[in-house]
Amino acid sequence: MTMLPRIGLALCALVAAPSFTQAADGLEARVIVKLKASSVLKQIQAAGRVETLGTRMGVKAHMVSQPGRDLHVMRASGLTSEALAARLAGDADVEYAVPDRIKKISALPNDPLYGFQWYLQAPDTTRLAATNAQAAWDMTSGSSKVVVAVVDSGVRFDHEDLAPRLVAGYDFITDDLNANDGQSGRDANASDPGDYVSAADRNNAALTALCGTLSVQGSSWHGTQVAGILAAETNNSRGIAGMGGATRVLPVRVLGKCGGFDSDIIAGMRWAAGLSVPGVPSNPTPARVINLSLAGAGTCSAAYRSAIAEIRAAGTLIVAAAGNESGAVNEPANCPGVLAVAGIRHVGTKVGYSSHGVEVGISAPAGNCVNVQVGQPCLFPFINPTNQGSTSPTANTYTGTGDNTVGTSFAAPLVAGTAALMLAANPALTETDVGALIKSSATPFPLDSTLPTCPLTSADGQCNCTTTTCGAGMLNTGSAVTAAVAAANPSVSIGVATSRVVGTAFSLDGGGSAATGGAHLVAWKWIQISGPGSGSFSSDSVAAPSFTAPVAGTYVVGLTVTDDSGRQGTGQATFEVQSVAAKSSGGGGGALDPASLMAFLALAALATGRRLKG
Amino acid sequence: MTSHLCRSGLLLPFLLAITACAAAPLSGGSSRSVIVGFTLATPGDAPEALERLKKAGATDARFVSSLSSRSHSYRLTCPQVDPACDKVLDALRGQPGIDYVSIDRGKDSQ
Repeated sequence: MTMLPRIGLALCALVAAPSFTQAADGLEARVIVKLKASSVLKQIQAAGRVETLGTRMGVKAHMVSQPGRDLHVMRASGLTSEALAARLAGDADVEYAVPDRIKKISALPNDPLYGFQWYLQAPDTTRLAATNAQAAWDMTSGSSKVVVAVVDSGVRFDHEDLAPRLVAGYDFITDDLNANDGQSGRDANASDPGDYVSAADRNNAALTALCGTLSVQGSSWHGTQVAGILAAETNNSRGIAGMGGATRVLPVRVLGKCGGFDSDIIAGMRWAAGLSVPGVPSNPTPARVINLSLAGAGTCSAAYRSAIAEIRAAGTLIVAAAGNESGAVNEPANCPGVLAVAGIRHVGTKVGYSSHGVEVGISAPAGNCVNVQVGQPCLFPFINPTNQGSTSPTANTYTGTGDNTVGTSFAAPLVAGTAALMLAANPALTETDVGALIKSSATPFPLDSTLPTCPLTSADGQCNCTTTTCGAGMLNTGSAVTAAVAAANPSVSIGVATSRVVGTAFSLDGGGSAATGGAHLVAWKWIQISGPGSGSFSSDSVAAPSFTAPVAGTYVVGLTVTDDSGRQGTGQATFEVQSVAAKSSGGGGGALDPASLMAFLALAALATGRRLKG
Repeated sequence: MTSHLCRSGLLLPFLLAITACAAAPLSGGSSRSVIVGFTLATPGDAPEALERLKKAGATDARFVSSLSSRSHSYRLTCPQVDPACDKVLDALRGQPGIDYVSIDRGKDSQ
């Protein structure tokens, strides 16, 4: 029996959510509140209504303006707008309460090609799949502390839109013919010398033995393109904007002439995550995210499974392109623990070439040209940094609308860049957190009634995506970063004593509330939100005060906690206060008999809490 | 191993594979590249490791590169189209101290 109060506290424990980051000192709330049509407060002057509401919320409030007959703008000190709005929303006289936020002219990047980067902009009726990176950039401009590895063909270190974002990488290509860099074996130069296949290459017996049948082709500068989507310098009046803002790129070269081999790719992935690779110096700038815009047929091998488990244990998220085969998801995107990215068209349906399947975690724009005739421009391509050299590098440039720069290779860095922004906004997130939040914040897939549902496809491979074929939804960078910010805020837990009698102090316990990411709670603020009488706290600024109710009935109390970074979380609890002590079966103070316990359990179920969306 | 190759009619490909070693291709029709995961840290290019692979798989193995202290890639002189080669790999997988054997496949940019 003596355990019952403790059990009661546990049962009443509530988790509440975060609000926006704000300085702990000098908090100022500004909220728009509308009264219900039936509100008795309408019988008094507008300023009095606001003051009364403030008193109920435990704050001193005053009216700023009255935009409508029942609409008021109110201000109060000591808490955030989100916290005050949440408290007001629970008041019986309030129809709604929302923060009165300042709107700014959204600062668009000044990169001259940004207008072509439709995939970074806010979605509209024709570009449903756009990721709304713009909204994310209002919350974070990225962090140079966040490193993303581009495990690819190397990069052009001299590309002016990329150079400021690059850290020294490594070349993991073992075979010299495959590497085409004039250096023996693996080396410290991750520069891309070109992956062209010449007519002479086709006649090179050793190279054809390595690669199989070869076709003459120019250099792709693939790693430079992928790195540019991820982290081209933004707001530099040059070229394009990168998804990841100030994110830095760790180039890891694994693809050369005719691609690359698992052994080099896996070694490069491990090194990128900060794991040791024999014969290679340790990585001074380990990556929090690895981007793999590469793929090949086959099920996930034991070699990949083993390495991926190690890399995830090191805290690094792996993002991989699903593949461009229209069918099953390729390796390594099909490996457990990898965030596989399928490609969607601008309207949100699966783009014909994208691989799809249950292994896909998220979909993102991959570029689509929309039935282009010869000589016509591609309508929804990617505009990427590249090089003009058809074999060896020459001048740096950008791809254009005349190029078919499409593929799941380009969808993956949008996701990797989003992950980097999330980690900049909330460094405490784990790789599991980042993957889960990217999925949970995704935009649901649209439906085109003229298309079949995946895995059935139209003649050109298109279909309506589902969550079992294209992942959780369409990448929404704005929402993902919002979720990352919100996850940084403290959670609130409120315990309420099981024995609650009029005129007798009983305990409340906010001690189960918790800060995140190594932060510490520094302030607690209790208020009574509603009740038949005005109760009193022994102190309204401690973790575990007592509360005394003057009359019996249902009471709602709220708790706002603040951490040492000024982040806040708010929660509330609803409980019943009895007029007389519940009859005990012989136990002493505070204990409950079975009937009372059942009543308490019902009350616990009524308790409510909320997580404020950031 | 030679008698085995003779019985399976693969002596010529085997000899060709040995010849091809001079050019050191990573993979090709006469060889097979594999990634071997050991249960314990093992220097991939140590003579003991190579000898162990030879004995286990009855084939020549050349160290190519390391992925980690426990995983390394090797080129086995073992024609890709030879079913007997699959048996070699199965034999390797069954050896104590070997965690896995994966084919070292190619990947392309997407």
